[in-house]
Amino acid sequence: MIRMNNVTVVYDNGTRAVNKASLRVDEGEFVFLVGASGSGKTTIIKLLTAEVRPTEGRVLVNNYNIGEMKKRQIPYLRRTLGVVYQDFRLIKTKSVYENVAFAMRTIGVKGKAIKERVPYVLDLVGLTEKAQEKPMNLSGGEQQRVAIARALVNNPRLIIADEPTGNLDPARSLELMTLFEKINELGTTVLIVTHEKGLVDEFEKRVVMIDQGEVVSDQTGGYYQL
Amino acid sequence: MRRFGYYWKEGFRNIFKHGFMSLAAVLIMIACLLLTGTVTLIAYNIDLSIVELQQSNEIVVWIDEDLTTREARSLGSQFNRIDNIATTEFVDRDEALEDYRQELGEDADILEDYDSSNNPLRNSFVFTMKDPALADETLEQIEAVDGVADVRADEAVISRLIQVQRVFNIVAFAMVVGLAVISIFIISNTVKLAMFARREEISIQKMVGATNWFIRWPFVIEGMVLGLLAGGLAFLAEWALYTELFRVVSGVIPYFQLLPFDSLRWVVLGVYCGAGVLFGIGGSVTSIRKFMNV
Repeated sequence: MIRMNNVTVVYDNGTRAVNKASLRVDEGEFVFLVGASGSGKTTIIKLLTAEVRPTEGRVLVNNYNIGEMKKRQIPYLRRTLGVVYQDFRLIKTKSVYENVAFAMRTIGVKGKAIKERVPYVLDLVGLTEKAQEKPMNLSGGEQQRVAIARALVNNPRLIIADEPTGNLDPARSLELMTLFEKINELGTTVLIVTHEKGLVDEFEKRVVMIDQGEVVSDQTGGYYQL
Repeated sequence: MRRFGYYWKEGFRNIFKHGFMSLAAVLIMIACLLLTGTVTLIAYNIDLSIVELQQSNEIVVWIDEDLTTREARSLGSQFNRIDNIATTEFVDRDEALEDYRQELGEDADILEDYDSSNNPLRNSFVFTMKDPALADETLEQIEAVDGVADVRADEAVISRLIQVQRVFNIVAFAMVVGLAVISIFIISNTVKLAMFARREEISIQKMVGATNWFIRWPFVIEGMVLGLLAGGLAFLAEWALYTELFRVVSGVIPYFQLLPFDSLRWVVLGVYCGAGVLFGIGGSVTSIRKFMNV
């Protein structure tokens, strides 16, 4: 699933965002990636989605070697992933249904399959009733569930969520984490980047802590300790 | 097939979403095509006139009147030895006088005092050349033949036309290049605007695994459709403009014949639409690149 061995990322301006980090995430795991702002969490997410390449070391994601893969292979890597962002990144002019269907249409899935799959995923995230609403008419929690439905709709092997609860109140955040837990129980690997200590402690999952680009702690069932 | 439908639908959606910019792009492209096309068509017509003039380029050689008609005719063998002479025609002075009478018609009485005994005309030869560019050399060779009294050739007119043709060719080429760049720039900005408006969609498409070409196609189609539309409309405008030009030129310079538009119609349509599509696609492709680095 994810294999990072002694990975270093140095940006063009000389910033060392990741420093000899190693990480292994197996199929079916639920992992929190935690750390303070600027610790390198987002760069690790960008590494996993091939937005940046490692300066040193080796990164394997769903059997794609990020450092060596050709540019034209990147779309095929991303089809094995579902990514959720803090700011939802929904298309305002499209309905909930269209936002989710858009992700399938974009990779060339046929209409019949879209009509079957989208209602199933919307049901999974509890948005069947809101299918025809525009994102602007939804609450923050609901918008994030649309984003999760979009990430799930192409049946990815790995869901990566970058601060998914950053814009939500504690009750909605808890609901959302419960949803991620449910998705994980259905067999999808989940990697969540967050710095919300309360939530991490609540779920008692594996916690990988990053500090100054290095993995400083990795505990299953561990707590978030800064 | 389904994807093909999606690309076209999205391409047209882009065009209508930024209707004003699309209209501006089409109008500017029409102006560019029309200017370039008209100059090129005029240059082409001048080219044809030069070729026609060169092909009918005649040298008239008058023979000394001291030579009898028989002696004059015998000079033909000497002229035929000159390499650049393509055809030779001897004009008998008596036949020339008769022809002149015919030409004068009712006014022929001014020649009534003339007959073969006091014919004021000279025997002459009419030559055409294989290569008009060698006119000077050929004239020297003709003048060197004993019995030649006078020579007349139109090489000055041809050389002036060739100069005009060169200027027109340079102007046409410069305009084609300059206006092509302008057209590509305008289309590029139109497509850039469409891409900027949809940058979020594009970044989402990239994130869920769309290939670059899946994202590019609607914008390429947008540029292509705008170019094709501009090409088609420019063709109609050129039709009207050229027809008017044809009418005016025929009236003002009767010896300079423009080709009728009917004989150029399909070529002009093909070139305009082809150029429009090419500029349109060129403009799209140049603007897409930077939005792809997500």
